Amino acid sequence: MQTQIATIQNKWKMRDFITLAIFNVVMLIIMTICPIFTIVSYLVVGGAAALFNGPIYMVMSNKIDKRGVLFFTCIITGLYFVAFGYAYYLLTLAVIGIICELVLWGGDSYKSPVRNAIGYAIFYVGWSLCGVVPLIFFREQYLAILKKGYSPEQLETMLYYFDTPSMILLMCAISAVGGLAGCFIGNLLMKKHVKKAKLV
Amino acid sequence: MNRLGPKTHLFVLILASILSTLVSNQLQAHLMVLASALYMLGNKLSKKSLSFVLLYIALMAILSILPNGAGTATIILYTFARMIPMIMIGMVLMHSTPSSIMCAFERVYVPKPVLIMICILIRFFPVVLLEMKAIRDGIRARGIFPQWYSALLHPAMSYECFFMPLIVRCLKLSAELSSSAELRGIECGCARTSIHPIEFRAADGMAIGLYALIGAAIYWTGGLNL
Repeated sequence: MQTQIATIQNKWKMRDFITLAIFNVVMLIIMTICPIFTIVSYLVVGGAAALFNGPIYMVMSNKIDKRGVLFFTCIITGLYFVAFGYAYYLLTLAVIGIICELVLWGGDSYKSPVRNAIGYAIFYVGWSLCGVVPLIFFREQYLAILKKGYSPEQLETMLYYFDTPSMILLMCAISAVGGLAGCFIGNLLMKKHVKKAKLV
Repeated sequence: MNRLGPKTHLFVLILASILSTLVSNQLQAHLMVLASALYMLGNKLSKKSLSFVLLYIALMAILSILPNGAGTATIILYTFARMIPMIMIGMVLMHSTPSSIMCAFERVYVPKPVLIMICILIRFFPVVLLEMKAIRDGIRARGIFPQWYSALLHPAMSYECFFMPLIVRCLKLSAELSSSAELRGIECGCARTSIHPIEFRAADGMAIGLYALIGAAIYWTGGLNL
């Protein structure tokens, strides 16, 4: 009986797909704007995007409350970047999406702020790693493609950020902190406004 | 009406993104933008295509002015300039009606939930941008941030004032849209029909062929080291 209820609860309806898509549009727009922060540094882009998207993700997850929210978010983000010619984003984000769903597996995790924050932070760490992953697995081919597109000085600056382990770690740490802070603020805002209005 | 089908746009988009990873020098990138502008013109989006070409020229001008030491800013602008051809073709896809997109891709067995998500993504980009503009106007009309720099003085408040209305508006939009879609039978299992022409016609084949040909020509000019 209990499993039956669980399957009913986890079945996605059209309503959920539409909610997911609309919230993802907003998240994608913010993600597209966030590279402006490269003026400060490359390292803060992931963190800034995570901080701004935190409240949006928290409300979405609480509204839909079904298994796969974060995975579908990863896939949609990946597909968006595929349209711009970054096919490896989709692969990386799909793997990250599965890891995120494992973190959120079972229980009432989509309503719990702490577990949501952890999953969400992992998603943004993965998003920042998207530029690094191809350098680890297919270094030669990827560098050949980059050499075609960028001048040597530009390539050197990019590799400084995406190929130095300390820089990668710093970038991941900033993204994770941004994700956790975003979810924390999101949770506060949700309690203050959305739950009072009984919208979730 | 001689409009190309959504399948054609998707095909051209894939061709363009493959081509963009292959091109190596500046001339090829310029030619790619030109080819995409021609594709937009062919789809009767002349104003949009002109504004994109102007944007590209402006970006190139800024890039040539910027000193070499600008580092990261140059890379971001440069990457954006490289994306413009794909954005242009994506724009053409966004301008075809959602119902024709759904019908065309349902025939090639794309799962329905995926299709609905993609359609909403395409349809809601302009709507969400409009909503953001409306929220900004609302903030201004209420006199919360009278000067343009006041938002920067109170970052926490501006964050709340901007994101909360956006989230609430999104919740309302999703509720309204899903009710309307359910009422119009989106969960119905029958095959869709469409008043828009969606079958693959000679014109579509010609458009893809022409774009592939231009793309091949652009790739080939790189081999000549012009």
